[in-house]
Order: sequence, then C-alpha cells, then structure tokens
Amino acid sequence: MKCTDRKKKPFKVGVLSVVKHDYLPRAIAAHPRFSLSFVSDDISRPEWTHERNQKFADEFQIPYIKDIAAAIKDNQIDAVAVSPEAERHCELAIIAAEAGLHIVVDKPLSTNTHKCDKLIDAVNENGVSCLIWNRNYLPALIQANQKVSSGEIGKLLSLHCDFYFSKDAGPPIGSRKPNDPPIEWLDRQLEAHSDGSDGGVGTEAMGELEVEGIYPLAYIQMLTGGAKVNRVFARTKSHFHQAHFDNNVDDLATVTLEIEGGITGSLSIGRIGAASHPDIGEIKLHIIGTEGSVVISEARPEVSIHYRDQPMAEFKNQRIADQNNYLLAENFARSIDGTEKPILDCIEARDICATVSAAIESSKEGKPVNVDNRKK
Amino acid sequence: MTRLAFQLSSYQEEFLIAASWIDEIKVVSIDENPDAIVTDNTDIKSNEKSVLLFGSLPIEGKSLITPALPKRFSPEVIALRESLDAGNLGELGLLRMHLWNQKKSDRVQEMVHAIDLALWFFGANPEYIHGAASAEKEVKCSLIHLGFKCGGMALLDFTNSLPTGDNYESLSLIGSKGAAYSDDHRNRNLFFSGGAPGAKCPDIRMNFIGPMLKDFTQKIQTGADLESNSKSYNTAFNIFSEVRQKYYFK
Repeated sequence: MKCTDRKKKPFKVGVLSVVKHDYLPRAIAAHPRFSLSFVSDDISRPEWTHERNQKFADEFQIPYIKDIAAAIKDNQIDAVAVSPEAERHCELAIIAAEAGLHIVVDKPLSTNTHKCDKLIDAVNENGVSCLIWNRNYLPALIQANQKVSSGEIGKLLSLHCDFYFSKDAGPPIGSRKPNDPPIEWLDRQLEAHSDGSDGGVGTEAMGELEVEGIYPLAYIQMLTGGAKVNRVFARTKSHFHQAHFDNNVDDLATVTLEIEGGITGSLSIGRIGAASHPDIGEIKLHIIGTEGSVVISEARPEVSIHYRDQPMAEFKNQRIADQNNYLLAENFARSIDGTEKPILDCIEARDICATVSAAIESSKEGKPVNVDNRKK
Repeated sequence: MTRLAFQLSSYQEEFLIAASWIDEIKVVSIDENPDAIVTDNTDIKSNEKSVLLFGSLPIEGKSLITPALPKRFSPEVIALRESLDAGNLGELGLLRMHLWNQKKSDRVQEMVHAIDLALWFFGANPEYIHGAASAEKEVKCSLIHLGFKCGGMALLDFTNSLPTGDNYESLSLIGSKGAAYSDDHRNRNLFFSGGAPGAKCPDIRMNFIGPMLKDFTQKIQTGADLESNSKSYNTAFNIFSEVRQKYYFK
C-alpha cells in the first residue's frame, strides 16, 4: 500500500449521470484527491433519471445541470465519474474523452465492442486516463494476485472462477400467467433500485454475463497478467427469473476459456436468488500453477453476526477490511498523475466485452467461438 | 442376509469394517460360496457370482461385473442428492465441480466418476460436450463442459497437480429455488505447529463404502438391475473418451 498524496490539489470531477447504484461517485467523493463539481445529464432523459440525478446532487450540495455539453464547457473539471444506465456507459465516456477529461466509468463498459473501440480511440487521441470499475482490490483478490505474481505457485496453468450473486430479480421463472404481458426490462430495473439489484438498469436487456461477467473476467485478466482469452465455449440459460426469461437474456452461464500462453480457465456465473446463499453469494477462485495451487474465497475476511429478531434479508456474514472503493479511487488518481496504469483500462474492458459477446454467441450456436480481441 | 466376499489389494480393512456395520451383510471368504464378491481385480473368476468392481477399469463383456460408482455414495453427495430429490433446490441448472488430485492418482477413473455424477444428478445424457486442457511438466489440468437438453450445464475442473497429501473436492448444485455447496475449503480445520498453520478436513474419505455396500446388497437381494451401473459407467467413459480425443487431453 502507498500513502495518498494529500499535498496535491484535488481533481475536480463532474458526475455524468448517477442513475444506477451511486457507489462509484460516492467512492470518488470520499477520496481526498477528488472533489465533485456537478452532476449532469441530458435534458432529454426520462424523468426518473432526473429525479435520481437531482437527489444525488442535493445530497452533495452540487448543481444538477441538464446539459452535459454545457456542464463540461462551463466548469473547469479534470475528470468525470460516469454512472448512467448500463447501455450509456460508453457513450458518455466518449463525450468526456473527446473533451480531454479523465474518466472513471461504471461496469460493464459496453455490450458492443465497436463502441468500446470508439472510446479507446478517443482516450488515446486525447491522452486521458480511463478506469473501469471493478473488484480487483478486494482483500482476497490482492492476496490471490500476490500469490500468483510472486511466482510462488510457478507458471499459471489453469484458473476458475465461481461467481454467484444471491440476488433476486423480480418474480421467479414460471410465475407469469398465460395472459400476463412479458415483464418490461426497464420497469423491473426501476423496481430493483430499492434493493440495489438494478445493475442492468436501462432499456437494453442485459444478461448476468453482460452485467456482472466483467468482475470475474477482470480477476482472470489481472491474475493472468493481462493474457487474452482466445476462444470460448459457453452454455447460458434463463433459469431463475421471469424478467430474464421474458427478455431472452441469461441469468445462469458457464464459460470455458482458452487463454493465451496455454492457460485454461472457466467461469460459472449466475444471479441465483436471495434464498440460495446466506450472504451476497458464493464467489471463489481456484488457481493451479506448476508449483502450487490456491483456493480463494472472495468474501474473506468476514465476520459472522447473528442475533434474535435479525431481519431475514440481512447478511449473516459481513465482509470486513474491504477497501476496494478507496483503492480504485487511489488508482484513478495515480493514473491521472501518470504514475500508475488503471487496474482495468478501456482496452482490457473492451476485450472482456469481446469475451462475453463470444460466449453468448457460443451458447446460441452450441460450438466454440473465437474472441474478437482488439488488434495490437 | 447377503454373503459377501472381499478381495481387495487396497482398502480391504476399510471395506471389512464398513461391512461389519451393516446388518444385512455377512462377510465370508471367497471359498465359502459367497452371494457376491467385492474386488478391485478385473481378472477375478466370479463363478457366475455378481461382482462389485472397485477402483479398476471394467472389462467389456463381463456382464456380472458391476463397476462401483463410489462418488454417488460420499456423505456430501448423499446430502446434496437428498436435498435435490426433496425438491428443495428446484430444477437443477448447474453442477460445478473442482476435483484436484495428486500426480499419481488415477485420472481416468476420477474423471469418469465425476462425469457419471453430473449425468446422475441431471438424470440425462448431455447434448453438448466440450473440453479444454493445459499441461506442463507432470502437471495436467483438464476441463469438461457439458450442456443438457433441459438447458442445464455442468462444468468439471480436474488437475493432478497436488503434492503428496490430501486431495481437494468442491461440488456445487445451483437449482432454480436454491443452491447447495460442498467443499473441502469450507470444511478445513486449522493445526498450528509453527509457521503457517496446516488446514485439514476431518477424514471422511472412505465413508462412501458403507452406503455403497448397502446399495449393492439391496440390489442383489431384490434382484434389481445390476447392469445399470455398467451402462452409467460406460456412458461416462465414452464422454470422457470423446473429450480426450477431441480436446487433446494428454
């Protein structure tokens, strides 16, 4: 760990939409090297987005400007925190990059590699930094990375991630009556905001692989030292939730990964329902090297707390010493300083997007699919 | 009462102890005209007796030889199966298994039995079969990926990379209504004797023997279809062979 350089003047940050979870702009606001200047979004956005943006702006006592171009032009800012609907992440990040602003953007970057490529070009042309939100600084991930990068387990041969979020997503599959209309994706996501399970908020329906797959794939990306996934084979299914079934997106998926350097990997991922785990979910890494192997539980360290009249929905095991958000913000500050690379940059996130797209295609076709990685 | 003879080159003692705990079994020697034989010797002369073959590759055409499917009878699998059968987990969507063994382990047997377990839990043969492998020096890592007609999937990770000592197993069932997790990670206790502590599971490795013998003797007593094990084993073995051939398992 390194000290935060408190002598440097804080970077001024504009928040470009905060309609999903607000953990990202909150993390930036909580870090001493950043200060929030405004929240902005386009006036043409639907009313519910304005309500959420205004609420966040009010809490932080900063203006809400319903014109992104004007907000950027009229305020001297260094960077933006981008947290709109999932399908707009790339679009707003591109606007910022073209304005010469550093970017921290929520995950997933996009479901479309062409949009990612446009962002990468804008980032390169304008010499700005771009960090995509991830969980690579969780204590267990830091431990796993130290074990692998130190060479202690020898050459990496195989790694596997089990990534199950025990979140609900509306009514269970099979609950829709014959004459009921299919569930509208956006309606369901708006409803899910209250319990924070609206990771795929927007009009574009996204499956679990598209919304959350970036987390485990970013683990694999980090632990392999940036090795590319060359080919995938996948199975996907709408198994739990009516909203996923009605919108033809997965909530359960398995992916075989063939990775550069002769590494094999796999991912099993699902939004398995709140009843299926006492906490946020079973999340594990299994890593095999030529000289040793590692089993890591992403949740550790944690404490267990049980008491009479405990609310059913309260996690019985609580994660502790989780500094992921602070360390991501620190990494963003250092990447703006030019002293550190973003722990997950837009090129890496773009190739993760390509891996996810290939997995979805593989599942539809029932055969392995090559990953369309960005050409070097 | 079923009169069983045991002729095993390893674990004979453990089998005899387990048999002694089961009322329906009387242990006899191979010369005492047993009702059936439990062995790991594929060349055994069965004299028309049923044979439960443990830990060896069955020979085709010997119809009275029933391959043992020990993984179906391990305590964790029994608990998971009961929960699934009771409907607590809903429809099975995913079976995930990590199976790590030592360099000298019988990889083929381990993988075939794990595939059998996946097929047994789903109650179906897979529509899609895929695999991947990586290897260096003596360390081999293999992955088998199955897709079932119901949309369910199984992902099985194997390695023989562990040094001498314990194996590691993890089995998860993800169903539409619930999930069940069994893994050696969760079940380890710590032992301190200087330096980093050792982490060990209570030793229940051989606890499958009792339920497996009980199942075998019940089948003999009721005249149940002993060939179903052979069919299951052969199906799993054929899937393993297909994956090995297609995906370059070494």
